[in-house]
Amino acid sequence: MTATLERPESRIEAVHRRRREQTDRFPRTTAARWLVRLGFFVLFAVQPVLSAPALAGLNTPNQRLLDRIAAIDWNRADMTWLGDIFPPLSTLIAAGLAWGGRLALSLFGVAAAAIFLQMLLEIMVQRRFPAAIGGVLLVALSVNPLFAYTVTENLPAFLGLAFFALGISDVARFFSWGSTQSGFRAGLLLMLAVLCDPSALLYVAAAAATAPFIRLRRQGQPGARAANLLVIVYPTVAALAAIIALNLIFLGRPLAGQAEHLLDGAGDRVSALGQIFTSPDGWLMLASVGSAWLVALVVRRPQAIAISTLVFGAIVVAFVLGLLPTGSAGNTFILMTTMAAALIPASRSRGLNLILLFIAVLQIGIAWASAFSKPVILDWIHALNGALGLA
Amino acid sequence: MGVPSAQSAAFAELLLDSGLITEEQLAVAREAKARTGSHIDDVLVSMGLLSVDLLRHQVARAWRLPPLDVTQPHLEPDLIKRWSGQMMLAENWMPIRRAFDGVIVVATARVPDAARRAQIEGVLGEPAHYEAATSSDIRAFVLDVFHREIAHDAANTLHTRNPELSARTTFSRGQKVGLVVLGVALLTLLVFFPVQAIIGVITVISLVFFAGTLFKFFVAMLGAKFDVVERVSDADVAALTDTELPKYTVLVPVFREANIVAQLVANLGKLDYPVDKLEVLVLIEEEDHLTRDAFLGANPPPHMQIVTIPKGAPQTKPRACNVGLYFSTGEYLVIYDAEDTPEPDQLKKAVVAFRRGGEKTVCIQASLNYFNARENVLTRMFTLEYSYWFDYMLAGLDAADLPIPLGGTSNHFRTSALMELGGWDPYNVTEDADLGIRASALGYRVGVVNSTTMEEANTSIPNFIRQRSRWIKGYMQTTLVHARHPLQLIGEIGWRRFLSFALLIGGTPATFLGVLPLYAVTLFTVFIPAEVLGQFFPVWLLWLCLVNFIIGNSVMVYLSMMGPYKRGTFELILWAVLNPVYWILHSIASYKGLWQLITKPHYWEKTEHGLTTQSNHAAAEVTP
Repeated sequence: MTATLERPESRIEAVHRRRREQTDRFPRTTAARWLVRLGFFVLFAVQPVLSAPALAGLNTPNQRLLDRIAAIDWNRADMTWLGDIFPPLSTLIAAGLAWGGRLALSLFGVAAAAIFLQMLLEIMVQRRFPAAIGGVLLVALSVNPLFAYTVTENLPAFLGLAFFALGISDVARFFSWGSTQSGFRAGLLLMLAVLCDPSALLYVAAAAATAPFIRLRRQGQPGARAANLLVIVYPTVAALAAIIALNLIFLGRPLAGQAEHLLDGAGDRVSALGQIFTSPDGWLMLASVGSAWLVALVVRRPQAIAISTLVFGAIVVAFVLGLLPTGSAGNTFILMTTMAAALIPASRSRGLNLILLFIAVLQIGIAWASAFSKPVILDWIHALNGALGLA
Repeated sequence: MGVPSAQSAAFAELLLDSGLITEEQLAVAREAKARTGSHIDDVLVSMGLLSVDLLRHQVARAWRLPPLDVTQPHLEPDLIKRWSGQMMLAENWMPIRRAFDGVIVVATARVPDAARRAQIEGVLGEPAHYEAATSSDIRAFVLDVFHREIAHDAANTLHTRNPELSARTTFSRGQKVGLVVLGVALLTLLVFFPVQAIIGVITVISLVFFAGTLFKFFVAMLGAKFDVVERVSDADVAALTDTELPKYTVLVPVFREANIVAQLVANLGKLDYPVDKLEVLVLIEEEDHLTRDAFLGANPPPHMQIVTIPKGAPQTKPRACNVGLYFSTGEYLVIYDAEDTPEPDQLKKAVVAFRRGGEKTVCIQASLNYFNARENVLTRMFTLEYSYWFDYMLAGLDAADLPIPLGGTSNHFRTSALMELGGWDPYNVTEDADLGIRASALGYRVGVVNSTTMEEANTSIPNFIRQRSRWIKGYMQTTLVHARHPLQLIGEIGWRRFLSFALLIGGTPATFLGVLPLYAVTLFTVFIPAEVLGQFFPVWLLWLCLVNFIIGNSVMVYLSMMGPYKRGTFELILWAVLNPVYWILHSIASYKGLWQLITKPHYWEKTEHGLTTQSNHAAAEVTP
């Protein structure tokens, strides 16, 4: 042992190490991915930038969020206050952007949408979607008033939907591909969805209920499915359980602040359900679900019918429980379309791919017809036209 | 198969004539020699065909030399110590005395042909007489003659070479001054500004906890990307030929482990590696006769040999390992504990991993897992924690090229690089973690390999506290050693690696020290009136504490749920929710460790092994 302790001249380069298997990114390089995101951002940012002053008087979910933030006492941090800021993530993001008013919230939504659309594109590429189907699905999802309204005027709902959609695609990777990283990321994304939008709690419950229908890579390993289920719901349950526990300890009741009033008016909303589903708006919502079923049949994944039905049921229950932000519109369409993109495998048959392409094109029609059947969206389009001089 | 040399042929004929081996046995030995490139005598002994005593007498006959009299060798230490003991071990000869005619007598374990004589006499600087010996004779006599030097070197080489890298001095002068200044400042603040001081302390603890949680989360998530990736595949292992395999040394330090030492004979006997290229050195302390007797009673195969650790201080595992390192002749070296059951192909996988890693990869860490996971709640929690640590955390550190603190056993080294690093620090009670960080600090790389060693999870709480107190104390020592010159360290390894080191090695004890006070604060907040509490918790701090309470705890529990995934032990997953209780044990151990760091920093808190009622052999066969 006579050698001296000297620092070797060169360090081992990580690049020399053996490349390991990983899911391919799309586009391949970081710069290209950010370019795609920037492209989406510029495309969608034009509308709020041009229309912001004219839409100022419109009572949208973002406006109501800003009003709520203005009423919160930010110099306290007790449990009642914790209830006031629920859902905390979207409330805190909005509070951080409140200085910029609705435009800031809209642009944040657009930035989130740009990242979300690039990731959705990546997921479709990874799932080997034919370019035509992927492209049409992306257009069907994003080039319509429902999407634009949700992104620019309903930040909590959009963030909730985006986190949930990305989470559910990770759930599929976790169950079907056995990717541990995806599973744990899915759990966190679903938790983030709930912390942005309480209605996502129902989506998460639906996602948990779909677990038995997803093909399991670890088939035959005792306890694998139950463990997977625990992994995807644990963060959401833990976060809510911790908040409820703190409420119980310090306030003696499980909910606090505005969270206590979530169920107010549930009876009225139950009776409104009948009207909704006998109106064109309701039929178009059902058409979104029908499209999801059709896709499931085309790609021979009947279990996907159960999944889309459960998620649709979750939206209905969320509406009844008052978990959907007032003025929400298009949640069903956005959710069903993103889930189709994230979950359904591409078919290898040319004929079936043509059918899928047809369904994707059909989605474009459903999206626009839905938009024009919703008074909230119509009001918004009307104001927008006025702002842009198109009225 | 090549043609045997004249000496080898003569030696073989002698063995056949003497009836010591049969034609068939000779053929098998020759086949092994051709396959592995080892000497025929080593092959015969390692295959158990010949005892060491018989070998000595037979080679003496074959070489026409007197055999070394191992009972009365008449060693002359003053003469022998003129040359290096390690040279003697490497070259398999040693001068032992001067004969009556004044010529040096050399014991040699290789045939002293003309070339070898010239080489030996060149080193000695004078002619010599020769006596036939075996490798184990040389090793025994080197230990006998050099035991004081070996004991001294084992304890002090690192400190002598670079005192700053040794934990022999716990706190440097700068650290002592810094701690005193910090303590005085804190006390002063507590006296004059108690509210602000308490707010400051809670803030620092909360921030450390929060940063540590985030760091572990990101690293483990990165590691989770690779849990289905076979870094070294079965095909890679199958492609290796015995001839190309290097000599491997296995060090097994044991101390007062008579109850389990026999087990290691069975466990290490299953290693899939040519025995004549395998050197298993069982390191037994000089006074530990019970363990020695138990090991010998287990009828170990010839390639497993005892190295007696000379008495000395500190009496620690790393000091024993340093003695083992002195005697190691393998190109690579690995440490196992007595109860370890490595996967049979682990050494071969490590060889592949070393080749892929390049020259700067000095160490490869295999995963540890536990065969008695289902024994009780503690073993379940232990297994969850270490599955997450070895299967995800270390994989993430490896992927991110961050310093890896080695863990316990199954650390594979390039022997020469280990020597360059100065071996283990015998004054550091987590010498393995320290060595991993030292390697990184000196620009080397530590990697991981997809092979598992099954160990015994701690079954009893007092034993657990003892073990953890040592580990946490060792992390504190390692932090103090490598943070003697923080700015210099940052300059050497960069901010990214420094922060990783700070959060992982420094942050771990800090977090555990913070657990009990934070639990206490949480409990008190229920009973203390809001107006009293409010002054110590401004809104921003309450927020930080809430985030830690809700997100931090949940994330740490969540991360430990990752543990079972690689191995499919899903029945453990729900136990992860008990982590907040498990952390109380860690916190108790951390205070014990802190106390010992101050009162007896080099004391090795012994972990009892062999307390389990379960067997590791069934488990070893089902590991993936």
